Amino acid sequence: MGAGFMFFIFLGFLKTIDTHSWQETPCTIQSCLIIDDYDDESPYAIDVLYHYTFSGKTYTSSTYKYNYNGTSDYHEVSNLASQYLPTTQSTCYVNPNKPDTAILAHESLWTGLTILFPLIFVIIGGGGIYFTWRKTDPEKTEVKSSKSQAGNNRKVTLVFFSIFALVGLGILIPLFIIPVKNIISARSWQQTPCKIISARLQSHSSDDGTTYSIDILYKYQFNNTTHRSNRYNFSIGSSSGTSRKNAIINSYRKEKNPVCYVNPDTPSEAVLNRQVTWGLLIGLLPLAFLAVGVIGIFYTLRKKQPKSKSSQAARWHSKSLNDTHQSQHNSSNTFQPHSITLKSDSSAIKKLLGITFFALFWNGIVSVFLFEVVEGFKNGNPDWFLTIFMIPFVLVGIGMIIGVFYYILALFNAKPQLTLTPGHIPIGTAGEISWTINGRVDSIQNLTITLNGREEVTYRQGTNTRTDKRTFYDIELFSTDSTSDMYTGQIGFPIPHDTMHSFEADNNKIIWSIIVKGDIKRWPDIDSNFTITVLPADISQDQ
Amino acid sequence: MNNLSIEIQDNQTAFVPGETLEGTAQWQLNELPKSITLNLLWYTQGKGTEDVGIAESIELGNHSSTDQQSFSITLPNSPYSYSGRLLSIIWALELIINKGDQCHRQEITLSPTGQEIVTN
Repeated sequence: MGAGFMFFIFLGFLKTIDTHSWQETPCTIQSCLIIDDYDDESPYAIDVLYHYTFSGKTYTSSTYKYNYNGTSDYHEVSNLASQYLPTTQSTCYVNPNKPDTAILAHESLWTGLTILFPLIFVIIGGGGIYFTWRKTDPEKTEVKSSKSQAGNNRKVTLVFFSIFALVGLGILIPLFIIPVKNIISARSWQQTPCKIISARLQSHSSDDGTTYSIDILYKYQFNNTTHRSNRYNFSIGSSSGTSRKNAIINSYRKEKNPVCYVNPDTPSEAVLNRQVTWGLLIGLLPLAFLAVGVIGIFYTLRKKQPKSKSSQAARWHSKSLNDTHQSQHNSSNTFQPHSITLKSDSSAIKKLLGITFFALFWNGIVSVFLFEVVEGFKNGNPDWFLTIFMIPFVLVGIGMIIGVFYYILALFNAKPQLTLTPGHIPIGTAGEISWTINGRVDSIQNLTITLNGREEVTYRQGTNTRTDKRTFYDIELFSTDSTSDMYTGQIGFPIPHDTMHSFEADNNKIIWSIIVKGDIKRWPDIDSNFTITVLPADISQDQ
Repeated sequence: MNNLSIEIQDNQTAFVPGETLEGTAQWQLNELPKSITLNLLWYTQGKGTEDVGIAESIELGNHSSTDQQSFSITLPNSPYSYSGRLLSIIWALELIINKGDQCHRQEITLSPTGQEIVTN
């Protein structure tokens, strides 16, 4: 399908390129009128007539541009009409193979970029077919340089996230940044009385249904010149829902002394409403794409590449196991902290900030569409597809709001503090934790402390990054219902001799932790995770 | 036809941390190599994206097309060879010609017990 769309877009683009080779020829404008009922979708257009001489013969043409379809912006046709005044000289482009065919202006070659959109689907589909069906040589794939493989993956990831960021920025600029810039500029525009010529609800049909926009044509005098405009506000695009739009249109029809705001530097530019409108919020949607792209690029670049073999070795050894490596060569200088205060893996405040941010972001976007759904029901023309489509998104948004309140309550929970002795525990030896719980300990019904060992692996699945976890060791060290035993205590525990030590690489980890859980009735439970370091067996003791 | 091989002394493949690994790297190539490197490395296998760590890297100086060279490496303390449900950690010796054009890998086991640690 992607190839099919590409083919048709390419055919059309070929014609556009062809017109760029037509011969430039002087012409004389005979007439140029503005039509204000050209098409339902694009009501404004110019109707221009001009004549020119080619190879000794005189021809007349009325074609402005190849594939010209009018516009919904009156200001645009007004500018065109002022360029093509009757009896003035201009330039047209004549088809040398068919001299009775000419145009006044070229279609932009930037339209060729639309071929990139179906190209994405062609690449994805073609790439999927290729990688599914290609035969791999087992001998050649047995051993592949891991460094080059990691480098290729990194490049692909960077390209992927760059496309996301570029698409997001490319849509954000016209949908939000430019309208906001115009709103700010319009604060200095001059208030000017105007007269309403026509006010109507313009419909736009597409495969997804019909949307509507406000089309109010008005005229005004500025510096003794009469101008016309149909700009209502600075938002672009159209939306479903008609009641609010109809109310605005009716109010302008009845308004006895309407005013508009005119750009004093370009008096042909004017606007009726220069305020920020709710429709502008839709322009923030591409921000999600931009954010995903930028965050993806940031984390991909931050992920360190194996630079050189020697530095790779140094990096591995510095990852908390340097003590052990040193002990291999000089056990008398082995550094191991006698005891350390453990830190919880994630604080309640960080969790609260995180979920609050996502709740605001998610519900901010969902609210725009929810607004349209409510508008549809209010004007008696509900969009059922959009309503049903929004249900899961709204439910997720409600869940996030509940989550925010949950984590606010969790802030008031009692907080456990743990000390581990020794600070790092070699396999086959024993450690001891001592704890103190500050806060509302009396609300805890049951307290358990567990030693947990688990595998954690990260991998990509399509465009998502997933992390799977599997517990291979889970032993309860302490459990009590007695409040007096919860405030403070200590307990020793062994690390089995036949288990695996702590391990951390970019995508694969073996993590040992002390988990403190406290059941609290009708309140968020305590669930704190404290990572500890389990070292390889101390070989100097065995020797 | 190119031939690469790594022979470990006494055909030993199981080692304990800190032990010395001795062996011979042999190669028989059609052309003169630009570089010959012997790496001692670990890599992960399993559900997660592969990680690699190079513990030691030796440049074998003689660049003849056919030759052999002995080596001696003191093995590190960790990580142990490991087999779990989501990931495995595997140690290997890797002989590389011309920074990756050709490669030969010989797996070994590194752990206090001489066998990989299993938590399946």
